[in-house]
Amino acid sequence: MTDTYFDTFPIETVETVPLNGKKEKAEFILNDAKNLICKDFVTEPFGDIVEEPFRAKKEANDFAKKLFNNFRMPSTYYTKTQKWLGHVVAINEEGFSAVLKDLSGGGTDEYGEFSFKEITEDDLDLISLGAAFYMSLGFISDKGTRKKEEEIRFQRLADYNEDEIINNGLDMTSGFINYFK
Amino acid sequence: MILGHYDSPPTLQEAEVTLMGAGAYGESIVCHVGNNNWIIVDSCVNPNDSKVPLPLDYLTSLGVSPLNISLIICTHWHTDHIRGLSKILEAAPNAEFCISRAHDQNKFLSFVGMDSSKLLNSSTKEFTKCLSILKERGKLFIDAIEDRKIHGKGEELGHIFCLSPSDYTKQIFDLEIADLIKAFYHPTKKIPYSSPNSKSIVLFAKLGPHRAIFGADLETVENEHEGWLRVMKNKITIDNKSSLIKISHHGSVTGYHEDIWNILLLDNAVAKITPWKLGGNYLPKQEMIEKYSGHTNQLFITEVVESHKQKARDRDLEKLIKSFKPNLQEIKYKLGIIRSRINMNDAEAKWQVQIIMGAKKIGL
Amino acid sequence: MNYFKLEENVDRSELNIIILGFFNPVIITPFWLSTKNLIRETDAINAKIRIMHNEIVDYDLEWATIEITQKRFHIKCTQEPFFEITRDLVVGIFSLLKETPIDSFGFNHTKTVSLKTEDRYYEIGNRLSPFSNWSEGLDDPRLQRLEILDKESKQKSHGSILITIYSTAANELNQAVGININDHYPFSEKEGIKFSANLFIEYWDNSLNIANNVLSKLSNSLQL
Repeated sequence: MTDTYFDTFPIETVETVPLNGKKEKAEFILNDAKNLICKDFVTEPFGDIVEEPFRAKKEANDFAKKLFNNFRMPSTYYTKTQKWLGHVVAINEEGFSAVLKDLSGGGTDEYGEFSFKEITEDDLDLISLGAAFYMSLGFISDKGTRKKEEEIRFQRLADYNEDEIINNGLDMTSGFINYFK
Repeated sequence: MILGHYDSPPTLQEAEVTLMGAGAYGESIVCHVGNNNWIIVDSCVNPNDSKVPLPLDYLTSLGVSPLNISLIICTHWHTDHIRGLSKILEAAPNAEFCISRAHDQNKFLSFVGMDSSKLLNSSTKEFTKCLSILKERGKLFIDAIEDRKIHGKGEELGHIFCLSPSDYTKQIFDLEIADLIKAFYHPTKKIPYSSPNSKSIVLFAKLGPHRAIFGADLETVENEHEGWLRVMKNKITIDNKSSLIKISHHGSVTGYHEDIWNILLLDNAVAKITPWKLGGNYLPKQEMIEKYSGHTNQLFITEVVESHKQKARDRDLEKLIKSFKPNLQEIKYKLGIIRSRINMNDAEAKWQVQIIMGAKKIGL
Repeated sequence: MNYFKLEENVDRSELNIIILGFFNPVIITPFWLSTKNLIRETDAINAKIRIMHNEIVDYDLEWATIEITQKRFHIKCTQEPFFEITRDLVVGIFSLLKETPIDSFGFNHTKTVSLKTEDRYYEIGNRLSPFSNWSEGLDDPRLQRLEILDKESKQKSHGSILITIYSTAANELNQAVGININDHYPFSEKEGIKFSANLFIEYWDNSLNIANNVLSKLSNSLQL
């Protein structure tokens, strides 16, 4: 077994750990690969109270593994979801229509009409012809309460400089220019 | 693809023009020009199983090898129009590839590159894949332009010509490219397919003594230098009236002109339409069907447009969707094939038309 | 043949994206994300900040938790509708900070699978690691946790896959197991890479396929 694989394993350096019904906060600042300094303390089920900084990477890794072992269950999660990626195909005074690609089940696309009232104010500026958005419908468990939830969010990616994009594009395809008859 | 008793290929002297319509998932023409040389125009897929593009699947069902595909024509760069085309090209090492590009090659390539580099919302990925395949093979692309012959040598029975786009259209294309770049450069935007389209490639097939027109998405516009008005004036390539037409732009009003039927087509020419539906909009409209029926009693449609319902899913999700988004409609997939064959050695021969799967004859 | 399909009994899913490299944590604040239009303004306003420090930032958006140290970027999302949005956020951040040197990245897909019956819950452990191997020395063996490494996976261009299967009983989720698929991509010094959004998306797509394949193939093998 090797621990090199462990690097992108989802340990959390700041973790709220449920202990015997109480929650003790363990705070760590990861200074370098070898040191794990514990600011507060943790007790059961991890054994001794840890007040000394760890020196060995292996110890640090083992400790973090134990944290992950406890696998803190999220308080909000979806039990069943249907997701789509939509693209706006037409806009009118009251809303827009879109073609939606089924991200959950694949297969055929769908068509839907949306009112502007369904869209969060923060996203209204993003509505334009061709704009991409995610839609999801599902059953959510939120801190123990189960409910149905709809979410529509317009896609956000970095704002690129138009010239930069065009030049990148030309880099990608300029080699084709010699191939036109 | 199960063709049942339609699975025998044409004879070497038989021309075949087969129109495949998959609704919103594209359309394609598969054409046999004699001596086991095949031409494919555009492509379509089954969205539930897109591994094999439908034209390739069709040829395989006939026992035709992709090695016999001599020419692939991409009438428009938008992925929605050519789904699966790169897979066809990959499987067809002997095929030439014909596209319509703008006059300004650099601008056109910038545009294609810009859109392809959008990771999630590209409309040109399929097109760029095709260009890459050709480049790897060291093959030149054929640029489609009015009156250019793109297939056929000397004594061969089948020859294919372009009737559009015109030179004028290509220059306009440059301006359109600039507008598209400006409007859609951002990676969160997908360029919607806009049709009808005066840049699409209309083809004229000379199949022995017979003629056929593949109308693509061409429209009738006011400007006589482009669109159908331009094509109808063609005296260089068009030497005879055609006995078969693939009607342009889903049989829409803009895809129609009375003089197409008076000038370019024989009486009762075989006419084929691929319908289109999105939301409450659909083509062809009933009045257009009646118009076309007035010109020919050999009018065929690849599938009948049905009203769309919700997509079938897990029951809980279906109920959920019904409560939150009752107007969500499935864009159904349905394949229809209209096949026509004719003897290229017989000037008196008539097209034998077969309707397969979802296709129908109108007026039957 | 009818057997229990793990992939059809996923009770909940979690996504963790981890990137190792050299970061300046204090740049990537909710406010910065919002001014760069990568999240909504309301997302930034509603963010719960735990730590804001030169060496480490740690905060919650409504749909994701972000923790960044000088060597590690970690975003976690427990709400499936936001998985693609989380991915887009990572792409957006590192497309803007494109000079950031990257050593490796990993996609972690965690699925909690409800096994429905106690028998099946105990039997999965037995199938994964036969208790008969332990019956000489142990009286009541139970599998708590298993890790399998696919060191040079052929399902991807390079890198490894680590699969961890563990009991979730400690978290009061009975008769369920957690399955984490760590899809890991190291980059050698020679490649010395800057973030490539193209590569990231390509790996993301493949990662989803890998995660789905793991579950369905495991179902096939276990035949519970």
